Amino acid sequence: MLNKNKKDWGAYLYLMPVIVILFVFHVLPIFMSLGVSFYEWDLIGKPEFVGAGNYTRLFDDPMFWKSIWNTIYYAALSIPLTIFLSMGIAILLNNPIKGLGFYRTAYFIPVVTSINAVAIVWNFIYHPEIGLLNKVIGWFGISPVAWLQDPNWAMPAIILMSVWKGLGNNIIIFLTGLQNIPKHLYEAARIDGANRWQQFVHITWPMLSPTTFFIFTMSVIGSFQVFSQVYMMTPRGGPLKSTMVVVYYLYRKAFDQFEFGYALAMAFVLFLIIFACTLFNKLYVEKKVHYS
Amino acid sequence: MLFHFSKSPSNNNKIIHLEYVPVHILLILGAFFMLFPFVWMISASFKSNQEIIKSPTDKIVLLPDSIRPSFLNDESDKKRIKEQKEIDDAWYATPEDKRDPRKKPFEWWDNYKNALKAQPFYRFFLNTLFVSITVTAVSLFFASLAAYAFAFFKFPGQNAVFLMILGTMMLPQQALLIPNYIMLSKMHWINTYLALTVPWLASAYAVFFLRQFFMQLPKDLFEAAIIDGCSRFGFYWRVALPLCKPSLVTMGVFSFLSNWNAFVWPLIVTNDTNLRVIQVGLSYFSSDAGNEWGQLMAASTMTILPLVIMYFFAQKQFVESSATSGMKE
Amino acid sequence: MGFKIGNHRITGMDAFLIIVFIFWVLITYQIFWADTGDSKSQSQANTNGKTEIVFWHAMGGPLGEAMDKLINEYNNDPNSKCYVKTINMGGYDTLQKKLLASLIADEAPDVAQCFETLTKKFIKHEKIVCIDDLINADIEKAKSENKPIEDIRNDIIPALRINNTFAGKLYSFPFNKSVQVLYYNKDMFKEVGLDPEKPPRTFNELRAYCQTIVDYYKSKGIEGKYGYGCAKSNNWSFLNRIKANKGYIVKRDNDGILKCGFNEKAAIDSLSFLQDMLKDGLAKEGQAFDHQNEFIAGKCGIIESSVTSKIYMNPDFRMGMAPVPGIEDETLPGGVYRSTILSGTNICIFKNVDSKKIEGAWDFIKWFTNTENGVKWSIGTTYMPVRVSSVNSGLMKAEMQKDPNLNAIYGYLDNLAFEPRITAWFEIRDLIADYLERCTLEHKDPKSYCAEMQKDIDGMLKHVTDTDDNKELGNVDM
Repeated sequence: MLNKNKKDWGAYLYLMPVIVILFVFHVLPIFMSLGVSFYEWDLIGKPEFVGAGNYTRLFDDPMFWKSIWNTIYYAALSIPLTIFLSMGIAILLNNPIKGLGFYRTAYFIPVVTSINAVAIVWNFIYHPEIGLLNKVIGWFGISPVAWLQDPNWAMPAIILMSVWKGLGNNIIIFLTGLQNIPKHLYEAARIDGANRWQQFVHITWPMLSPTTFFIFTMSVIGSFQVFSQVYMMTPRGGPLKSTMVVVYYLYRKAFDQFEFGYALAMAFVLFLIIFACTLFNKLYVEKKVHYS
Repeated sequence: MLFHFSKSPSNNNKIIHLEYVPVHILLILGAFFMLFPFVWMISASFKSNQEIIKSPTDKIVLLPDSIRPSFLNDESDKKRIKEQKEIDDAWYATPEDKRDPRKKPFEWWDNYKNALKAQPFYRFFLNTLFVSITVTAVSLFFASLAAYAFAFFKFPGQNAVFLMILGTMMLPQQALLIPNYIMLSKMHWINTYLALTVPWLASAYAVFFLRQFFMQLPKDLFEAAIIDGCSRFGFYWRVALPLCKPSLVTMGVFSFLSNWNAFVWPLIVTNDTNLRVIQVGLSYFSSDAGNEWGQLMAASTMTILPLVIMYFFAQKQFVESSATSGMKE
Repeated sequence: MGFKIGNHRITGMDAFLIIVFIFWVLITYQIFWADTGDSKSQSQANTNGKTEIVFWHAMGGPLGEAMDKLINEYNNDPNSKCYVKTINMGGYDTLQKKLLASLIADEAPDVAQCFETLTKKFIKHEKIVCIDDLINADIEKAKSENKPIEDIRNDIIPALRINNTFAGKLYSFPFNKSVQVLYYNKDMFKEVGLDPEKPPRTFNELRAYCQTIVDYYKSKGIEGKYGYGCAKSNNWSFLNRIKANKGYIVKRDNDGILKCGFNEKAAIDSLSFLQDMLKDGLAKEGQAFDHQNEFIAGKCGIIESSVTSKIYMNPDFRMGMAPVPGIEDETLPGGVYRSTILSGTNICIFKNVDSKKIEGAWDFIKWFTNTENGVKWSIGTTYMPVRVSSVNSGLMKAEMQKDPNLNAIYGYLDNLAFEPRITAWFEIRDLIADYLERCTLEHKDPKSYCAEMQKDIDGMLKHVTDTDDNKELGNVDM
């Protein structure tokens, strides 16, 4: 590599626009928030310094732990589901078949639609009586489920809807990644007599790994911050708080109960969790990623 | 149309081979799942609130009563429509001052008409387009510069800066609303287009995304070009960018859409109707006491349809452009 | 290596980008040059040199339309002292967030809708103007000018006045106030043999009516019809029933400590009433607007919902409205004791160095709630009139005659109550909803929930009793 031993400060010229804007509009507010998380502040009066009080209080807050658990539940189910489904569909869509334009558009439409309208449509789909979903499972002889109103099914329902909404995004990213895989690799493999599965294992999977790594990292960051779906579809955090996720909980603390410092403490615990996951990804998982 | 079997596949590689039939079946099943809510939404946009709410429990009626040709009606539809007509007739027959204050019988375009009347959507469209295009173009440029640096250079603090950039995505926006607002108001940017655009000109997501694709370009290409006297910016502009066109296009689409669908930020940083964006307009159709279902569906259909049509035609371009530029050996 | 540098062939992609760029230029022109010049001169013409008052609200849809129509009238009135510019925040949720953010940044609007708990915080931190002072100033002015003295306070409906009075002073002005009401399907009543003009007046009657409806359809073999629909874990209905059962929600005991009344008979009765109805298949709960939809679809005969839902419900059948039921009481003229809890927001004037703005805002509030406009506002939106003179006016009487359903709302405004204005109320409210939810999901003995609820909430209240703001701003009123 060039410049291997030089202190290449010139690189910062390329980074400057991004760094400046991110620093002013995103990093500074984060530090401001970090400061506030050590205060008790109702957003209107004078903030009162409480040291680590907000953080220690978190440990005794059962709802906080419940929300962490719900968030992990959401992430643990939605991340693999989205990744494997979208990878599979992207591979299917990478075939030279007719109607690609239609398919690609169809799978992308949910990404385009606004959450506002989507939430209402899905509320109708999940409706215990007139909902489509219960009709469909009825064909297979399964008795109706109350979905969003059932403590056991509310979270899976949110997850299904999130997968639907987010799938298209990942499909497109995977497709872009697939298109970057040189065709001649497959031709060579075919000449060597590799079957489809072998081609997938030895070419597609490793060559796609930078994309998969990206999607995985972003999914972790995104799904730990799940909010809109929960906020729109299950007011108050779902039946028996079964869909109360961390961001929704801190949102309510901040803007309904005016405990802004406490809410920010929660946000930073979440930040630490996400940061730890990302660091782990960057340091260990990325080692397995195959860059050219 | 989709299942087109040809006996001479040699001259057209897009013609379906039998081996792709299961692929089609899987894709069609999936497409049904993906499209259904969208179709439902469009269908509801042509229905009156009554019709949406009264939808029969035993089957799914997607074609609105107002535009459905009568030969499609089965017995239960006929019965339902007849009952509705009786109700309407009875309503007309009552003297005006004794009528329940109910809306007039529904025409299929009513939701669209009322939705357009309810909000200055033209202005909202302009604003949203302006913000989305500006942010997409500039943020792509900035992000690709940064991604290029991360992928091809080695510099002090590389990992730390990269993690910092990723870190900006890790604190929920809900927690940052207030600090962001204070910041912008200190700069006197509240209620300006600056507040709508500038903070989003740098996208951590795009930097990470593009870095992944720049990383896959062969490094020796870069080294050879530099030795040949190509400047670093020259390599970025003439080699790296064209080679990563598909990923740039993808990121462009994402960036455009995320701005198109932005809601909380534009709502918080603007006050004037003149500066409002589409999503804010959409939110006006719901309230604590009830929803204007039909109008909301009509308005969202209007905001989505142009994008869908554009995407349908544009994605062909993307595929072609990637086919011609995605050369890597 | 097969890549080309400097390929100048125009591709589809390039064409696309060029089109987008041209488009962008056109839009930019339209936004920054073609339009703004226009609207600037327009707004100047509109304000007529009057002070501009910014009003943040959350009135969407038809409610917003009705409000804007009235405000337009004010703006075009040559006697009005200011020009009101309304800004719709889309919902109470975002309105509240924006208010907080703008207050921190010292960019508050001049006037805004507020819930009582927030008002109380604003008072504590001296963010809003005390309406009492404005009224007193008006009276002083009238005295010095020898004009007839009018004390608006006496014209505000007493419950609403108390609702907006903190530490003995009126701080905010009631604006859009609503109550829960019963909606019922007159056609269904007729079908099942109930008198469409006699809606249920008491809880016992309500239950009996539902039984009649369910029995009728069962005998006909028609499925999916039921008597009574309401929203899931609905605090408002539950608290309403407690009040109607002559119970209390929160009060100070002899030692001045706040205690809640959830383990008393009134509350237990309220909870078991709903639970029994659900258990016996007479009632059903729905998420969000489900109950409203099922009612419109003709599936249930009676629902309980906010009075403002009227605008959103235009069913095909004849819809009747009635006050929420109460309990039998022989001593009263109608034989029924009712009590209804108010909901909705009030209007606050924010402190401003520019006294003209405060003056203008106050003028606007007085105008908007005056006798005549109060009636217009009520009829257009079904929100309650806030002044006694509006309720008693001939205009209102005429409207009530025209639409008997209005009578059901405004004819029974006795024993109005409101939710406690204590700091922790939002939290407590959420907790109550949790219990209501559990009660209808698990179907255990209501007594056990009530006992637990009492224990939990008393614990929270104990904490609140000692905090300063609740002592200072005293009256819990419930």
